[in-house]
Amino acid sequence: MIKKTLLGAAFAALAMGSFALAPQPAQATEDNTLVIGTMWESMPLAMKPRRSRFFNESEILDTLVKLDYDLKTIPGLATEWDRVSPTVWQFKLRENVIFHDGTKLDAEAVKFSLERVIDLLPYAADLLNIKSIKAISPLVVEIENTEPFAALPNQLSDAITVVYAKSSFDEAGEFVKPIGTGPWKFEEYKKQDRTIVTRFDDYWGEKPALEKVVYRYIPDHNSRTLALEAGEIDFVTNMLPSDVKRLSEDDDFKVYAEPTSGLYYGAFNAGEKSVLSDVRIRRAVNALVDRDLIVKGALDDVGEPAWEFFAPSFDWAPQADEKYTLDPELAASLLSDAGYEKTDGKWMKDGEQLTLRILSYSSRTEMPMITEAMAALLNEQGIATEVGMYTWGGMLDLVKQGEYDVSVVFWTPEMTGHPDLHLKSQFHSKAGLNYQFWANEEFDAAVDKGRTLDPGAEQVATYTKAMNILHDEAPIIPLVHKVFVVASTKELQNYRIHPSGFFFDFKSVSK
Amino acid sequence: MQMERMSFTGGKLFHAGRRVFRGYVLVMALVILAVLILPFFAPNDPYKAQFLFRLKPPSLDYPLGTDALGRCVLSRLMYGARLTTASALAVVMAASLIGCLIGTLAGMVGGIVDRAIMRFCEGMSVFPALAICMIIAGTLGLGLQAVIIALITVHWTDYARVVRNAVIVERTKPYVMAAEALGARHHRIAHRHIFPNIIGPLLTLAAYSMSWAILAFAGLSFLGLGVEPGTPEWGLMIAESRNYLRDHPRLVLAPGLTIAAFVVAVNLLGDMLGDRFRLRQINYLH
Amino acid sequence: MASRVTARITHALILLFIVSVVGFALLRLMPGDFAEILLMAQMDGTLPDADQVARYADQNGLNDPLPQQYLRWLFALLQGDLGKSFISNEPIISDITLRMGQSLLLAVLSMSLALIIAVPIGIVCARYPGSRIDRIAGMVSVIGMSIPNFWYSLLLALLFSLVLGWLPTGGHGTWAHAVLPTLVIATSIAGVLSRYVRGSLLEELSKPYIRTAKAKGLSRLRTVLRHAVPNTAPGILTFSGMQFARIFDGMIIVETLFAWPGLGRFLVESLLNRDYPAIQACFLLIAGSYILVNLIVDLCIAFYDPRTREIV
Repeated sequence: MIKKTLLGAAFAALAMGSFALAPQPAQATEDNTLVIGTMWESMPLAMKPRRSRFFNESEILDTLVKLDYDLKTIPGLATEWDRVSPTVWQFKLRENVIFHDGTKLDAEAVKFSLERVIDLLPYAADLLNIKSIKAISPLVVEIENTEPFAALPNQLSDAITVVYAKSSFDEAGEFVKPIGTGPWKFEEYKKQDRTIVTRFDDYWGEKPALEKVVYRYIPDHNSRTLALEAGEIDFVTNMLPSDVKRLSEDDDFKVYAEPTSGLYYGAFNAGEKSVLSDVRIRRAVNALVDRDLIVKGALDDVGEPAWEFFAPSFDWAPQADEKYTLDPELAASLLSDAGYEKTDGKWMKDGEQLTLRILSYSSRTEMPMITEAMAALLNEQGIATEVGMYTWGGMLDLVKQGEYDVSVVFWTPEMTGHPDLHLKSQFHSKAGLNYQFWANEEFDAAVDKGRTLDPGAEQVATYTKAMNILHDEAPIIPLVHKVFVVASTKELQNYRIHPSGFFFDFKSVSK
Repeated sequence: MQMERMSFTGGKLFHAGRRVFRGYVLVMALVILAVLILPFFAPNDPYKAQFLFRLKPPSLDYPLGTDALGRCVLSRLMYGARLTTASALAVVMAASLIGCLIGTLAGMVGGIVDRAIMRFCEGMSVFPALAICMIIAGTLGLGLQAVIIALITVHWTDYARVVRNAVIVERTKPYVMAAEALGARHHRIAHRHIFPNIIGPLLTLAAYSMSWAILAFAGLSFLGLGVEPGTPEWGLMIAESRNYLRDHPRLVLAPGLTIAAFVVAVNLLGDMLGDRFRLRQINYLH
Repeated sequence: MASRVTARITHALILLFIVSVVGFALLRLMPGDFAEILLMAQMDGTLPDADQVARYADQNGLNDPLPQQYLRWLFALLQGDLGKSFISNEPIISDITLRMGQSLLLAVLSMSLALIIAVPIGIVCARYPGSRIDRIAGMVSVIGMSIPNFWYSLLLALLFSLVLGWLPTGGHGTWAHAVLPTLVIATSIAGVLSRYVRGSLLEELSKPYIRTAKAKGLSRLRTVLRHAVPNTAPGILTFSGMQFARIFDGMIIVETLFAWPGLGRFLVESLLNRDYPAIQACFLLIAGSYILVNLIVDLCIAFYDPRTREIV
């Protein structure tokens, strides 16, 4: 009998223990709080580039230079900037700006922050091209570049250059938490769950209307929109195309859709482990995939068909002289040149069908749809496919080993309002992120030169040359230009999509 | 996993007579056969995407309509039936073959070999099979083959345990002991006396492991750890259509109901085999 | 008694040893050069050259004989060092501890609910074998075991979260978040469990002492409750202990679907991330905790039921 009681007690203790482990009550969306459902974990400690993007888009931290709604540079923490010599820029800082920890923003703080960023992020040095940073007076920072560098102000609007207070890092220089100058200050981060920011009352600019913003991480694309409809959140990003359609017909919700920076493309493996080392096949694939069908078919018209690298809606962006079009005849002659023969509707060579290993990741909403649609269109044209879906990290692991033919990815090439960002960081043969084993000296030279030139005829000519090489050499297949879609409850006011795709601007939003 | 011969028969769902039983087994055999040739009757190409004919409601040409890429749902279900059944059969056959060999070895040789093998099998039985499968398949690099190998790796121990126990029981029977005393060889005893007597438990276990394999297979594919995207596999069809659950529920309901119906049928077969061979039948295979 | 306990503990230790060897091998089996992969993860994904790899391998003892490497690894493991994630380059232990608690919570909740559902049903079915209730319960349990849990999770989420709006769609934070995951796991366990309870009660009821009890004039229900249930309880407990494995299988799916930050979802993420050290850590933790749970159940039974004390 005693033993039975003991057993019962043990079980009860276990049950009680589980109560103690149980989390605290949830918060419904309160009046002065905006709750957002996000696709990515908002503050992954390790994904450094994505973390900085979040600090910028949530405006915990500010950049020296910001971009307006036409992607033109406007003052951020710097009010004006001058190019005092071809290689030297001076930035005049805004007065009376204080960090969330109460310290003042000055030239020393900016210098410290930029140097930390360059240390921590492998490609920041490449992006900023900095030789030295000097604080020449309390409010003037002088940046010397290694070569004449016209793109610097634009590059300084990139999220990875956000300005951190010294107290964001520990003694050893490791990142601890974000302390910045933005209108929102960091409050709490719960791993795998949420990040909370609250209004910073001593902000230098327009004060936010709301008190608190909660970024809830809801990785499942279905549940994210469901959460909005169930009233758990006020605002949802990265919706499924089918949900976009339904919510736009529902009066209880507002749907916002604007073209923003962003391109879905297939990056070709031009290395020796892939059949795509043959440029003819790369070009043929470009001429075989009907982008209009992908947008209509896979995305319910949420997106613009992409036949070029930079979206034509950004008039400052350079374009190649030619574009690919859907041209099965051109593709057929290219494939025949490469030694393939079409039998029974299949492209064959030495008794084997032309087969592409396509990798992508399912954590971004539209990825599986775009990838599957592309694969289906290739199959229809007689090219076999093997599709593998991973997470971003899982895919990258295979890509780095060169075990792929096409990896379908998403980047934001227009984000800084300058062509340099993406061409330099992805396609330059020395770029840290170039896993495509594609190298072209003329292209490298054009990109290296373009970033030194002021806007004008020479800059246009240089970048046009780079774009022509990108077209002829076809290291990628552009698929879809991003149309950024978010939805909110009908009570939400004054939200506007920023074309960089990385800036929420919730300051004026109220509900 | 625990199979005991008992004088009492529990868990009867159908009080099946011999004829009913034979009839059911015959029907199931036919069903499995039919499933394997089902794709030849599919009305359309299950891989053909038609982007301008997406998410269409059922029609004469497309009896269950089309999915998000405009592919014929019925045809995909029919191809999926073959893929799933064939993969599950492969798992069951390979696992039972390996399990039988090792189980017989343990039972016939006995001693330290037996103890070592049985300790190992017992050890395997307490692990979460799906998790271990995922880890094996993940290490092998995912895909159909990796999943099948993973399922076999996890599953053969169940057969080894059943066979080994049956061998021990049979070996203590007077006629087998007599045969051994007369100098009959091990493999001859196994072949002539023991196998005919363990066919019942084996068939029963096979039915249950088939249902387990189908569910595990679908579950892994659903999580994106099974077959390649685009393959007509039932679990994957659910995963790929779940975004359309609200507007086009049939895309999720059709494969789900198909899996459920198929697995119910296989489980009932297991129950009937259990009753027939007078085994106390508890299906707790994983 | 003592010999039984020692035997069980020895058995568990041997299993733990095997698990650790397999876990160690898991990381070495992955494709590619181990030193290069480790180094690449630390260098934020840039490809190291051969010199760097050789130096790294030398510094970290990756050229030592495998048994030596194993011992070093095991020693670190025993001190709670599970290695660093390839993806985040952070210690895995920090991720795991958070998720262990969440998974444990879900497991205990589902097991309790499953027992609450299954035991009464099993008792009623055993009391009235062959009755309509028995047959319906039998059929329902077969269907319950046959429906893919990921599928009916989807349907439940649609019904309770969206159509009725009673429960949140996913995440964790309140008791309401735990309802659907618990329900899904518990129902799949309850089917098997009720079949087991019914079966073992019927077996017990066929024993002679029950006939004596009946002859004494005890009612059938009282016989079941007073005699059969206490005598089958150890078996049911052992069986429930084994079901924790099944619960974990259920959690893999349910945690992924309902965004519950537990170990199951961590495993799926690690696999899709191809994050081998995290996969290894999951394997060690899962296998290790199952050996421990079963050991504890075994020992509990030994204390609870004197009859089994003598059996080794």
